[in-house]
Amino acid sequence: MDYLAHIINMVLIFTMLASSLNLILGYGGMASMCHAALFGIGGYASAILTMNLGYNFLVGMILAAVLSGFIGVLLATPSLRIHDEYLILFTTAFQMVIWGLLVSEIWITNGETGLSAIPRASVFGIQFLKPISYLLLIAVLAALFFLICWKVSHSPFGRVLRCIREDELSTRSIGKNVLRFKVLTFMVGGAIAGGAGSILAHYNAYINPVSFNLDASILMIAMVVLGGSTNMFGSVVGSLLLVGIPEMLRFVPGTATLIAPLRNAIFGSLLIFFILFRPQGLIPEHVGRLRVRRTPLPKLPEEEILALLKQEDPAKSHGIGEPVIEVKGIRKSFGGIQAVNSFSMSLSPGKVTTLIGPNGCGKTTVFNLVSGFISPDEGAVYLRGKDVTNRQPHELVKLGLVRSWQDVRVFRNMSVLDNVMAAIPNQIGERLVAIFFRPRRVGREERQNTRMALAYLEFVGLAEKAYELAGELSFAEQKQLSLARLIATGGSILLFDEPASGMDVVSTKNMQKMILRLAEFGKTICVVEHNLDLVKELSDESIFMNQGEVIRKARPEELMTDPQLALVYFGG
Amino acid sequence: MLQLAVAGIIWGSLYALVGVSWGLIYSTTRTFHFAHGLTFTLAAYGVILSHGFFHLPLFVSFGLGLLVAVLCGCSIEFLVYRPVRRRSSGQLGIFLSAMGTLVLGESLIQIFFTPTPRTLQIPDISDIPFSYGTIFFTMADLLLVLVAWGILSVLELYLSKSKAGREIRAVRSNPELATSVGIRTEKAFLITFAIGSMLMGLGSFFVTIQSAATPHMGLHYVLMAFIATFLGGVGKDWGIALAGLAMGLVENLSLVILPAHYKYIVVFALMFGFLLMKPEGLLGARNR
Repeated sequence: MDYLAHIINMVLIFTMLASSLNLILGYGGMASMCHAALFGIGGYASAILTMNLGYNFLVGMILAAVLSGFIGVLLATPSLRIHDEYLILFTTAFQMVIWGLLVSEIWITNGETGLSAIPRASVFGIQFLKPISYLLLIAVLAALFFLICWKVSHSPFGRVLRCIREDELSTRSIGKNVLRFKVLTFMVGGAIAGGAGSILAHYNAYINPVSFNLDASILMIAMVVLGGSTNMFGSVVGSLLLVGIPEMLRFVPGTATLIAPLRNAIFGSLLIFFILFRPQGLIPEHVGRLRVRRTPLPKLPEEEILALLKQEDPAKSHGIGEPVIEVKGIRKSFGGIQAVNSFSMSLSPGKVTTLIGPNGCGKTTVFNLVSGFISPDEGAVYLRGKDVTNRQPHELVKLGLVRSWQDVRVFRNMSVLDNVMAAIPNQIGERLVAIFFRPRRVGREERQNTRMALAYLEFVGLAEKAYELAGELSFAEQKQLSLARLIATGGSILLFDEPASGMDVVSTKNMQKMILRLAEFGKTICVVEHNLDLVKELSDESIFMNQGEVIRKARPEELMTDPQLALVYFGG
Repeated sequence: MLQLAVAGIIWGSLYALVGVSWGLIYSTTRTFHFAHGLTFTLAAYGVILSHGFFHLPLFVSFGLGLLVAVLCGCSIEFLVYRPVRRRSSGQLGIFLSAMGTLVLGESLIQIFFTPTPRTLQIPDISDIPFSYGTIFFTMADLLLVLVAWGILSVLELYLSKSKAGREIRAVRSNPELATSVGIRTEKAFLITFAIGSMLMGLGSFFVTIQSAATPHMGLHYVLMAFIATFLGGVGKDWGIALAGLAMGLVENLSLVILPAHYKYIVVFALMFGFLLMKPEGLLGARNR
């Protein structure tokens, strides 16, 4: 009986670890190889605090969680500068350093001998001694930590995490401060790992570095992946599997001395097997989610939809006709290539300005420079008179400047509705504090935002497909989705990068109609396009670029009948 | 201190070798070949078995070790990575399958050979010592340094002059374009794995004849290989080699100022700090 209780306790502890890692790895897409290190930091911190300073277990656990959470923040902060593969390396290095310190700093950690005689947990005077009495305590704590992970993952915060996992660049372009989300996720994940470490320490009354090495980190990753990443119940299953199976091995005669390598051999082969045959894990991401419509889609009145679109953003206090965006003499070179050279333009509300030119002339680079994804070497960008040249993309989105992508970049593994909802600004559900302390308000706002998102989808004609996965849409539909996502941000300055490329005549006409309507609503629009018929229909002023420079600014018809420009565009 | 510098050069040459062996595979196939550590370990056991157990001549064991390494690397590519790539589970999927392979392989070795370190009991010509004042190294050490840098030069020649080498470089820089000009990417991948694994086996031989073979020995070297690759810059073989050399020197010279038990983590701490400062690498990484 005690043995069974022990197994359940270990499964519970690993569930805490798997679900917290799931937030980081499954939802956030960040490959963290150091979860065991955070686990260990918590364990040792709690042990030392309770043994040497006489603190009670609960205090020790909380302090351990705080410490690990803090270290998680420190780890995540440089993460924006470090790309995916480097993050694996970075977290591996951290894992090795921590493990090395645990082994070598004998004066604190007692090295490989480990710390023993760690006081057993006692909560409000109740002493916990046997595995079976611990079961209740650990179950309660596990439920608590699991609930935290579950709430975070199923909130608007969790939705943004999934966006980051899908396409980080795209997430920045809809106004999310990606760094903040990454840091907070590492904080929560790290804190829970630290708490779990404390629980382990006081449960076993003994810890040593072996439990916190690289293999342990890999085991946790296996639990997340095998159970089903991006699904919290998957983490429960994963830890059940990878703790349970090796334990069952004890009953197979003759394997007693081989438990450790046998367990590793099993989880190694399971990992390979699952990646090959069931990469989504045992419980896939979208099980039990919005695959099935729970309530019929509310049909929104036309006036409401229009009211949403005409919504002026609060910062706007500009007269119609005056330029909202002024780009003055921006230059950018990459290595030896001058990609953009002294480019200037003005954009005004209600007007569509088109940017045309041969491939490689710098049009997309101009967009990248204006929207904050790269910084110009010289020159400036002014938004309503303010210099915004070196601002980050998400800051510009808050000021109303948004851009779309030539290669669409929808969040493929999320529903169409989620794609649009993610883009809606000012969601309090994206704040951790609100998720836990103002759940009612978050719920209300979610319902409101769902209606808004459906309205935007209605505008572009995708309302029927709200619950389908974005990756399953046709290319033209993905472009429509990208448009809906763009206007959902509430931006008043819209930069479209080749909105009609790859689209047939009918879809192009629809796109044209929608862009013109948006201009009618007072939006400031700039479009990069190759489809010259569309360019003619859309704009009064067209800018012709070549080799990074503005060659001529005129009406589209004039540019198209200019023989020199035709030469540049179509070749000799 | 001079002795430490010499040790640094010896270890640095080893790290340069394993670094380039991994870096070649990564830059060409974009596979995070974690299981490269298994190649190292299997080659070591191959040498131990053939020379220590079956008493085959040393140079035969050498060849056998290389053969085992190449077979190991190529089988992993063929049996694991290729199918995983076909299912397009992304980089994470490949990485996880690589980890799974490493863990599985090392566990099986531990089960069959037990964790006891296996050494070559027979004293060898490779143990001939050289001693100049305070400096001491063995014939094996000298051979390692000479062979490592020699083979790296041969590799560079091969990559630039031979047909297969050109195909590898083409695939490295633009896999889609390479396919469209008729280069069979899968064949190029296999050759890359073969070469990389062979180099790893080479390193393993020199380590094994002087110390021992243990089931988990490969992990340390594959981790060093990662670090060398990212410090040196993906795709820059000489950068990686230099980084490996630097790592060996730092690891050993650190003993002058730091206590011995930090030696193992010095390089990781270095990597950690380096990534914070300069995420692109030592000589500036290629843009992906």
